[in-house]
Amino acid sequence: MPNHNEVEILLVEDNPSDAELTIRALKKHHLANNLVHVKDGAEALDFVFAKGKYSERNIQNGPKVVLLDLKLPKVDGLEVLKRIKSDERTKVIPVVVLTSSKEEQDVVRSYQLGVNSYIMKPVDFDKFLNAVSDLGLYWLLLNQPPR
Amino acid sequence: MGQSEIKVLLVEDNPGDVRLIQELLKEPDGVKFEFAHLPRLTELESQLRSFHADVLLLDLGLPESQGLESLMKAKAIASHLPIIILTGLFGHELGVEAVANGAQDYLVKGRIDAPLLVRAIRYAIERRRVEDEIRKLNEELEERVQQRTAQLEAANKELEAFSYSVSHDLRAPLRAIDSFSKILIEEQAQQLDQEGLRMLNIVRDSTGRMGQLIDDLLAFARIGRQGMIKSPIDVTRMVNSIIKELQSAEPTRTVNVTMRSLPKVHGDISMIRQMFVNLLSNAFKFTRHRAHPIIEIGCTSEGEENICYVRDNGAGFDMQYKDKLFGVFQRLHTTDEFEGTGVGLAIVQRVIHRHSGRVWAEGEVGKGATFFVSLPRA
Repeated sequence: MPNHNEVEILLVEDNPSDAELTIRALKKHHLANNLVHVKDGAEALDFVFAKGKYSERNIQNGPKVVLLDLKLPKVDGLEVLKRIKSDERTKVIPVVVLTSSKEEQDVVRSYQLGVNSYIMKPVDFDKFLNAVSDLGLYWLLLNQPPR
Repeated sequence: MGQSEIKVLLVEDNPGDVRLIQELLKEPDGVKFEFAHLPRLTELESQLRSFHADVLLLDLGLPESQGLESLMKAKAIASHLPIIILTGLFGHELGVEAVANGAQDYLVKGRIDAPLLVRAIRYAIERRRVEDEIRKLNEELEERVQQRTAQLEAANKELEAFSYSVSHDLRAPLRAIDSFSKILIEEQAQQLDQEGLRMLNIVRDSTGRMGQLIDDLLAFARIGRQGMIKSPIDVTRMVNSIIKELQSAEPTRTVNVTMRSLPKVHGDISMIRQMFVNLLSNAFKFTRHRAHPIIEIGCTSEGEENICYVRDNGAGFDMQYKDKLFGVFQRLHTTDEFEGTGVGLAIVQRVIHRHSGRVWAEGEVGKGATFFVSLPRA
């Protein structure tokens, strides 16, 4: 279990296959060392806001990026996004929506709520691999967050 | 209301007129009248509580209110009653105006006899009954329309939720199938022979195809439910840009494209564009095996509509299948001959139907095909 104050990627994904594939793609580029995987929206909020079983975490040490599925048990992805982006303490955390849906309404709503990037998971594995490693490289290595 | 007894309430301040009406109603006519009268409207409400009138006779020359004002007051108090207006000798115009404002009839004083009065009363009651019936039917109809609209809206919502889950939930397992077969090929290849690898590749090809089917089906569903914003469309510009895109997608091919004069049409720009993209990419696709592919786009005006066509010298089709062309998932070629999901022309048809137009096709196997669409003129 990684130190929860040094997490680089928070992966919010309920589908075990998608989670495994995402982690596999990130591992290929050694980007998955400090990754926490949560399986529903409620746990994602607990992690981000240092509550419940993550209460020992310091809320200031947010992850470098949140990879967020939209269709999630308990609290859905759009709600998670809204809560992260409407709180002064967490709104600088980059959130990337990574979802199967390419419904226009989801894209529009996500951007209205302040998403940093919206990526539709391709069905094709090679494309999926590229998409995930591109976004991992970008948000973890290229992007310069505010201090 | 009993047919044998009609309760008549008269609002009249002139005792002479009261007496006259009362006398006229006494004449035998097969109908029995029960009669009551009031000198002014202020007492109408209390009077109606004890006297359940079937019809109201109203003088428009009362001391406390004049003309149509009296009618409005009476209507407010006795909204359920048929009203017959009594006007002065030169009161025809006022009478007609009163009828336009909700009275059932009018009578001119000094021109009233018993048969006329009786007929007016019976007619006013009947007319009011029919009016009420029509009003009731209209209200019921309105209610039914609202119910149906609500049902349709609910069905639409359900359909949207359905295609949303199709979009989201059907893709995830496909991705797992495709990805884990790929991982198997990459990481467990030494345990597989040629035949095993070949089969795994079929698995991957099929998932790719199913992904395409899901996308196309969703696009088709979206055309049916998305709102339309209509504006004049410059078809020449639109078709030119689509052809450029199609040609740059296959830079090694030389396709001879002829464009005849294309008019402006009136429609939803994104839908019409989608329609021409589908028609033109079909023309490009089905001329692939031609040494000299020719595509012609043109338009003719007929009455209120423009008929545009896209003609090619490609694979063509047998006219006996012309009705099958536009069905969802209907294909006249195998995937080996020409790739596709069989949704493109179904989308064309749906776009055209949403524009109240028609679509049809002519063709001959091995000679080519022509697709016609009719669109409203800009």
